[in-house]
Amino acid sequence: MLQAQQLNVSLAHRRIVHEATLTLGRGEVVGLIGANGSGKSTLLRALAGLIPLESGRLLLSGKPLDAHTPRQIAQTMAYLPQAAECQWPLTADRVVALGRLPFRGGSRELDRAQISKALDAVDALHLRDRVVTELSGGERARVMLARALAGDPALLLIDEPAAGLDPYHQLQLMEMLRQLASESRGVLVVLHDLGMAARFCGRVLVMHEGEIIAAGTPDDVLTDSLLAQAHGITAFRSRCRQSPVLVPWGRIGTPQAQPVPPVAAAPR
Amino acid sequence: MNRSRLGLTTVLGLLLLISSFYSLCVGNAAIPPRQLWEAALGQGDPLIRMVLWEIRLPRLLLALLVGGSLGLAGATMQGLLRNPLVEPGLLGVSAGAGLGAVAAFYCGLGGVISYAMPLGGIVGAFAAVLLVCTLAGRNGSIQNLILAGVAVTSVCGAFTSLVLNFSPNPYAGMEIVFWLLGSLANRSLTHVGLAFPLIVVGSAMMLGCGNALRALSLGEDTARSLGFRTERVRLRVIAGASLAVGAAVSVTGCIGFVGLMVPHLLRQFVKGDPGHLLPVSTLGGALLLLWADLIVRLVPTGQELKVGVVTALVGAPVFILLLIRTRRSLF
Repeated sequence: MLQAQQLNVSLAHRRIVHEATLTLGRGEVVGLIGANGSGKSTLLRALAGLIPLESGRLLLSGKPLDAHTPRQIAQTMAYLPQAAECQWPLTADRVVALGRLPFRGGSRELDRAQISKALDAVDALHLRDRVVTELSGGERARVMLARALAGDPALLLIDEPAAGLDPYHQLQLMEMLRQLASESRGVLVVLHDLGMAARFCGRVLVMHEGEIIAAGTPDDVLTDSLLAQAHGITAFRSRCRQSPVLVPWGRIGTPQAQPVPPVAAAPR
Repeated sequence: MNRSRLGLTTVLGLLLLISSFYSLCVGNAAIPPRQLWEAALGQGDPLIRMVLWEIRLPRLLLALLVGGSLGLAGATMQGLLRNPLVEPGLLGVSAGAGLGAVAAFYCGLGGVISYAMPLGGIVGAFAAVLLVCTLAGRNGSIQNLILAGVAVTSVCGAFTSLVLNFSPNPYAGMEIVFWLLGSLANRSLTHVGLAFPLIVVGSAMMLGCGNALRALSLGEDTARSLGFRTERVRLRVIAGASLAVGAAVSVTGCIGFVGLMVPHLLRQFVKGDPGHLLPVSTLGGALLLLWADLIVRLVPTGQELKVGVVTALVGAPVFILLLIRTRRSLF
């Protein structure tokens, strides 16, 4: 669905993304992880067509991205930036309605139905008449996510949606992303929570200094050596109900970074 | 259109109609409605016909056109720059128009072409905006655009002061100062004809940006991901505001605070929606300037009170309130 081949992106004459190659298909949740400043958000913006590429090819549904009109791209792919804010005191349902702008001129009934569905999906239906600038950070994050869902996109590119959410809503978010993928959508999500990435993502891409240094299933990719290289940390590992459990444990070079012995699988 | 917005538009429209009619009737000599009707049809007392067609109608039309374009440009620029404290002159349009008009006057063109000042104003407005856009760069950030606007406004202000400093005689200096204060008095239908096409084209360009401004509420990246070409939107808003405000300032002089105040006052009635704010701000701006002009005409003063002074006298306290509210919270 979305294919990137050897993307190079520079901002202010500095190379931020280097030779990034990846695919995002329908039916999968792909986690993009890496340390701060490793180029994750810039890669996501480039994939969404928001910043020009220095070189490389970006294909959406087999055609170069710039062969589609901006509106066609917006109807297929939704992008949610990190810590999205609304400048004006709009109510939550009006913010979510902005997600229907690529479909303007269409059925109002469908618009209304999709807005309610999106708000319901993020457990924010009760917030619909509240002014978004007066919501808490987590509530606002959910409304912004509903905005991205309102267009019923085939592909979702989301930058750190879990930041600011409480554990209940973090789990709800990740379960929802998996649900969206099961409805034949592709989700690329930037995550800092390695445990969430290990448990909920089908594939993980690891970025380090602008390059994708590893890609594959969490079990294959999130190895001790890779975590040491990309994040400079060790991790405690286990399994629970067939899902990997991964907890960042210590920083390399500190006493807490001693290798953590693996534990037996937790009882079912 | 939902009920509250329809109600607001209807109220503003009705107030405009009533105020416009009242504005044609009152003045140094009151004209009863029946005689006004006859004069409008080209019948009755020739003096009343002259007062209507050459004095009151141009003044009314200019108040509506200039007030409307200032209100609309204020709402549009606030939406584009995502800042409730922006006024249409921020990008140097008003200061450029002022300098252009003053320069035309100083060069003695006023004696050669009777509409030298408005024409000079239009040229000045465009030159200033062009300079701002060049300084900000093609893909310059909003911050660069604002900084360039502030810089060009300061430069134009400095040159206007220089022209005043070297004005050939005190009367010429007074003339320039009075022009800069902003007034709707002594304007003819030719002034209206000069500003009308530019204001209509500029306003149409701005009114078509509602959806893009809505999308921009969530920032430039989100607006682009929603399918809007934000560089084009920016260009369109700047061009539209320059056309409308440049033409308005050129025929009336600098009238401040309408573009700042009107969108701010009306925003709460459209639930913050920057797209819905555009048409109501147009009506609101026209109404505010019409009322300010009625104050100028009805309050007896020894010397003519300039309408720009009235809008500033009302506007400055509103601006202070706005700052206090913004300081308390985001809104």
